[in-house]
Amino acid sequence: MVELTALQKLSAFLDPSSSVAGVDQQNAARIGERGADREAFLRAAEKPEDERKAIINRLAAKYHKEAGFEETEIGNAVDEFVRNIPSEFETTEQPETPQQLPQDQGVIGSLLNKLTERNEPNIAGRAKGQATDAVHSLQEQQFLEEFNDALEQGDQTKIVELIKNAETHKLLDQQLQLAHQHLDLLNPDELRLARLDGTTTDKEGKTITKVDNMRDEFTTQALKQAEKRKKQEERELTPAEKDAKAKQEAKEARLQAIAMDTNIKDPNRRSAAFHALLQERLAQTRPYSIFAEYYDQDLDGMLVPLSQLIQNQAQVRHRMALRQRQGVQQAVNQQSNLQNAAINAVQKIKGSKSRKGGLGSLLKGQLKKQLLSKFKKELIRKGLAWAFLSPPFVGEIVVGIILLIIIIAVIVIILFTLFSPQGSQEQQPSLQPTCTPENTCEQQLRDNGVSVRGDLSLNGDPYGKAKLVYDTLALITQSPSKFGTLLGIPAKPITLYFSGSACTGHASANGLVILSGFGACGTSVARFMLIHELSHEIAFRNPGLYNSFLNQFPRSSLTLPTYNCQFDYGVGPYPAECFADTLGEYPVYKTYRNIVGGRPSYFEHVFSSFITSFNPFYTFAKNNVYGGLEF
Amino acid sequence: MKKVFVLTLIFLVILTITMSVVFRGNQPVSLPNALPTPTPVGPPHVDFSKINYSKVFPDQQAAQEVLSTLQVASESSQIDDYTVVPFQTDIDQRQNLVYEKNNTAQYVVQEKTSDNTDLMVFLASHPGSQSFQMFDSIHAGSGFSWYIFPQDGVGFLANKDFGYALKVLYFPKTTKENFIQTAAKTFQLLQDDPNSENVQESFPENP
Repeated sequence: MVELTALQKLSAFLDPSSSVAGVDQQNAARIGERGADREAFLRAAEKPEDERKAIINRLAAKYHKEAGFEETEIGNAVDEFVRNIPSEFETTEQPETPQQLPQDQGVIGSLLNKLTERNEPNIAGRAKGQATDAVHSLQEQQFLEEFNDALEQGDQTKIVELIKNAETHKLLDQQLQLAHQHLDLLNPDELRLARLDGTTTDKEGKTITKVDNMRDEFTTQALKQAEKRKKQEERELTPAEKDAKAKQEAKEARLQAIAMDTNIKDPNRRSAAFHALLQERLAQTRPYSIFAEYYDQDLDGMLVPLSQLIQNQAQVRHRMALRQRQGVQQAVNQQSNLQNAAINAVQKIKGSKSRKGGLGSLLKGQLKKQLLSKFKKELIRKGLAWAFLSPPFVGEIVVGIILLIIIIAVIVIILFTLFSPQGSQEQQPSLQPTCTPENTCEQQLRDNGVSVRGDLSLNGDPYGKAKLVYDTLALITQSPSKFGTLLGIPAKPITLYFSGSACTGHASANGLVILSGFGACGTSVARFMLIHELSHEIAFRNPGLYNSFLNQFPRSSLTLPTYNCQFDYGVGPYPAECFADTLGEYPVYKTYRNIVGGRPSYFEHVFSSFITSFNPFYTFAKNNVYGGLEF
Repeated sequence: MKKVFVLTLIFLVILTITMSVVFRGNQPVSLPNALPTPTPVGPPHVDFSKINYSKVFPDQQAAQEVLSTLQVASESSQIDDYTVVPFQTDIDQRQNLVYEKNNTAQYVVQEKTSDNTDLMVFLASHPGSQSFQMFDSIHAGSGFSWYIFPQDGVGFLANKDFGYALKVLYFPKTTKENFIQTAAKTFQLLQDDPNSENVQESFPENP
């Protein structure tokens, strides 16, 4: 009898069809109960070393009695497995697969080869599957290499052939079909591309599908664009053009580096970079040329945002078309109204002329010239007052027109100023960085339109809350922030009332803000509470700004991981709370994320990802409220 | 001197007409007699061309004004026993909604995506109209609430201080009581302000 090692015994136990000599075959009957462990054993070689050790250790500990070795030998089995995989399972013969396994299959490839060599049907089947996958992977690599070569050589026939045969790029078909739906909205060229319906035959009489046809068309377009680009590149560029091009390329390279950097763990960052890159490219080219550019990269996951981008572009163009149509309609109507007005006016003038020979005759021919000439001379000689008071009346009309236009302009400006939906432009609050001495904070706040009521003491400081409010307001209203202007202080007063101990807040449309437990939960929380509630006041006083927020962040896309945005009022997200949290987090995001009882859960306790993962919210606050001021 | 007066008067009339044309941007656009037919995109749950809007818009001009914004419909859904057909606005995901039943429009909700003073304009043109206020919990804390004019068949989700509207709801003319029993339930409108004093935002303890 051959003396088996612990690992061999374990292998034989978990793999009953093994031909290793000396194994008690009765174990074979029990193997069905241990399918999962057997699977784990066979796949252990694929795992990283630590995980591999853990698996073998567990299996050896569990089955050492049944496999016939001592508990003390478990460690040996583990060491041996880790150490002996290459020699134990390696074979010099190649498996019966369509193609040699790629090198990166490594240990698992060797293991599967060995198992296949044993001619065990079930294991060989899995090995074949693995090998097929590997071959597909290899084919894909080959495809990409050939595609790149063909693209460089401008071999259109080869490219079309490659694309048609690229069975592994099924996602492209889906994306192309999706693009097809939206391309219906695009320009005539793209419409032509999109309307290649049904099946047709190529030059050789072979039936090709719509998608094939689109691919041909798409490839043709891409190549045309490539040629055009090449010609443009060959042209001598001016220094300014070279500089602009270099900057653009550097910018795109940075974005692409981020998008393709698999070491970056935050997918949102990569996605954002990829979107930004596409936007840059889209600004220069048509969508299908971008498609062409990225098709030769293994970016299946990124084709989804690309498709969304195409969709968005289509929608934007469609909306522009609708607006144009409405604009044309309005222009037609306005033109019609103007014509009617002109006809009415002419008819009135004609009526006047027929009765008294009025303006119609007076403004014609030589008389008109004489009158204007006389008026001009008199105006110069005697000034406007004379012209206004003296005949002929032409001078009066001219001066009257000027005065009337000025008066109307002034009235329109006043009306627009008073009734602007964005709120009137009030005087900016003027707050120093801090208030000293502290007992003047209350008065200084009042001077800026903010009254503080209730218990002002905080942590033994009798004016602590007033000072905290002052410092916070001074921080967020400093130039160039528009926070104070949007809030409307000092013209539209705010009253802050401090009560209770729980850290809650409430804002009313009449300017009353109740803050409970202000400062009791820490400075960051207090600042957030105050800014959050004041942001409600901004919404009350600037409905257009709130509507802009809704336009940019419809309810279904509100995703700030803050309690008020997601849970307040029950189920959330509620736009007004998300609006207030957007403005509230902006100055404090580096130190505080608004959560209650750990909700909503998120990977970071502070909110440092606000500026990256939630950049549109950050940018909204920065541009629309804080005037570019950063904290 | 009389001539001067007459000519000045004529000039003022022309100027007034010109100014009214120039500043008619917010005025209803007169459209051709035929109502626009929205183009369906989603599954044909509803025959868009056969929806009868006379119940909601007894006034043809109002119908034309609102329906001119209904350009492209996306997939409809079912709310209660209404088929709700969304129509694209110039802002993604803000959609005008037509609540339809038996090929008859029961409600139309129009999104107002740009600055306006629609409530103010309506009040100016309907001086005697009776209204009452209702609340929408979705927009609690925004300063917007519903101002319903049941006898005019129209409601505004608006900020009353500015007359600024976020949405306009068109419905068959009715009484206040009937509106509360029907439309208010469909649109989950509340008679009490959810943002009243006893509701407060929560803030956590110091991390």
